[in-house]
Amino acid sequence: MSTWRLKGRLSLPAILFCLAGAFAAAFALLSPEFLNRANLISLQRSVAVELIIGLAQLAVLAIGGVNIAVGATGVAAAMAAGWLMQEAGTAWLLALPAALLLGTAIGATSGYVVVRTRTNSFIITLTMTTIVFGAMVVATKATGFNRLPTDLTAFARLRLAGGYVTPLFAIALLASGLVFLVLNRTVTGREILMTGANPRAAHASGIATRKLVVFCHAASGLLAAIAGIVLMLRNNAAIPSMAGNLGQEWLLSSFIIPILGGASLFGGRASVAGCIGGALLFAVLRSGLLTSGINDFLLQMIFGLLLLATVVAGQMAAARDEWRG
Amino acid sequence: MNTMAIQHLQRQPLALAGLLLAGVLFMLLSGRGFGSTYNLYVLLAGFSITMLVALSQLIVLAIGQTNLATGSIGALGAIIAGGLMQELGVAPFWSCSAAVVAGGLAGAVNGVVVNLTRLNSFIVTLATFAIYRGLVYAVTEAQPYYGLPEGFKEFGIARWGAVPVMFVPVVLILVGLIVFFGRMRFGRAVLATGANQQGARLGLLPVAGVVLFCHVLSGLLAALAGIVTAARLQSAWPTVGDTWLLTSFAAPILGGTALSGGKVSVVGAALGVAVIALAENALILYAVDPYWFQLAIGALLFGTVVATATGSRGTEFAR
Repeated sequence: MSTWRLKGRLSLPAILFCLAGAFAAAFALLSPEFLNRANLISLQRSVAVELIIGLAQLAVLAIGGVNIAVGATGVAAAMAAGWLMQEAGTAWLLALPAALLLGTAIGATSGYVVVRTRTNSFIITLTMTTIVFGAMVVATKATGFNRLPTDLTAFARLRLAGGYVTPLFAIALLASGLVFLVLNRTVTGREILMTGANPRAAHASGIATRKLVVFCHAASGLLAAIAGIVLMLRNNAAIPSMAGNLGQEWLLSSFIIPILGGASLFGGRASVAGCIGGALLFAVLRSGLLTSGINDFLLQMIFGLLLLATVVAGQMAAARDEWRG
Repeated sequence: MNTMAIQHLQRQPLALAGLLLAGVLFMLLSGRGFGSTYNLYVLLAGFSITMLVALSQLIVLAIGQTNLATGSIGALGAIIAGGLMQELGVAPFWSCSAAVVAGGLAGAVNGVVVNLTRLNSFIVTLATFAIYRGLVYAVTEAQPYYGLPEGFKEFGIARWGAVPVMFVPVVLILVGLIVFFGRMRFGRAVLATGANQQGARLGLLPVAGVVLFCHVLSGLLAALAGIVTAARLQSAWPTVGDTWLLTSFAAPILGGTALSGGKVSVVGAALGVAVIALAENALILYAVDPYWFQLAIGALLFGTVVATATGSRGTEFAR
């Protein structure tokens, strides 16, 4: 199946970038504050978090799985980092890698159980969500950590490139680059996409499909942990409710961003560039609609409809591709 | 279905029944007032609501699909009933009927979209989960309805000794579904569609109709669960159903219902709900942090999935 292209030569990521640009221009016309530096910075920070959340889901979508626990893993990692730094007095240089390791371990456990029990990843990661979130709340008694080391606070306040780029956005781009390289420039990446597209054929051609499933879930856990830490840096605190109850607030965006970017729910199709475009469009829409006075709840409805429209459009495009052969 | 799967279907409810019995005995001997009439009433009332939630998921699991929007439809049911009674002064019976119908419509939207687009029900109901929840918050502006009529509130607390009034309709629905899946032609058609959709289509079963029916019934049951929750809380909150996702899957799967469709156990789901209600009650009686509840149910489901994994050798590849 070819990548999803519209009539001309524009690829899907390019369309998403154009759409995001058009919406940004429209919002800027509606309210000039949209383009001021503070808003651009805040927009970037939310793109950064959303993009990494999207990548965390993309990592498992590529192989045809889902990870319901992205939010719970992210919050648990951030809370672990917060606890280590504030209560245990660990240096951030140790605490942050430990939190990333925790996220990776949670993901790897899900992946291992998925392949060992041959149960689909939806139900395994759903149970993992409650176990991880429940354990986090029980361990921290649902209190946040808001005294982060000054080094980290200063890092989050840094402005690069003449004061217009935040380091958090740079982290997100770095993570995207890494995922892109693994997915598109390594044998492992191609094997993951092949396993996602046709697990039986991949298995028959000697690909270690089970190891790849564990690898993808571990990568998803790692990316979720990065998202949690970036959000912690943005909020300057680790808060148990920062992704809603059970991390559910990340659920919709984690799917909508890669799927906007052309990823398939059935595996085998995953575009990092599309994911970036999706995150950009998502964040611009949210920021713009919020500044023009649409409330958060209506926004959730709008994004639900957007997700539905995207998958329907994708389905129609796929059907057309198939018909054309 | 191979013999192993059939054995499983019976073994899982049996194991659950054993677990339930042991749990009840333990709680009776614990001396924490488990056997008091009031506590049994609390237990049965909790059972009633969770049972409706679980059945709402079970009916779509029967065709191998999922409904992530059960919680949102539950909230829709609660606030439509609450809003009609409080803001418009509609009689409780008509308000609740309208709310249940609205739940059915919300389910119908899921079913129609799944049928028309052939999309995975997971992604469709993920979208409607957000849409319905957003609608609920937008309409209520995140405020609950407190001023519900006395007749409705009475339904939420009325009881005969240890038996809550709301337990009766739930038992009727349970019996109805047992008969539906076990004895009725259409119930068998639902299971056949879940087991092998292509085969069902070739066998001239109305597959699209079956899919629509299951999503509508799922919506009706979810809305009903939301209304009963409002009656129990004596107020209709827009947050109703926020935590239903795990329990809705946990009870049917604990009871031996297959995620892949075609295999359901209504009795098993009832036992699953009973175990969950018992665990919740025990944690309350021991005054444990409510977050242990989610952790415990998650661990129980996790254990069940791992323990029964030997039975699912039929699936060659899982992602």
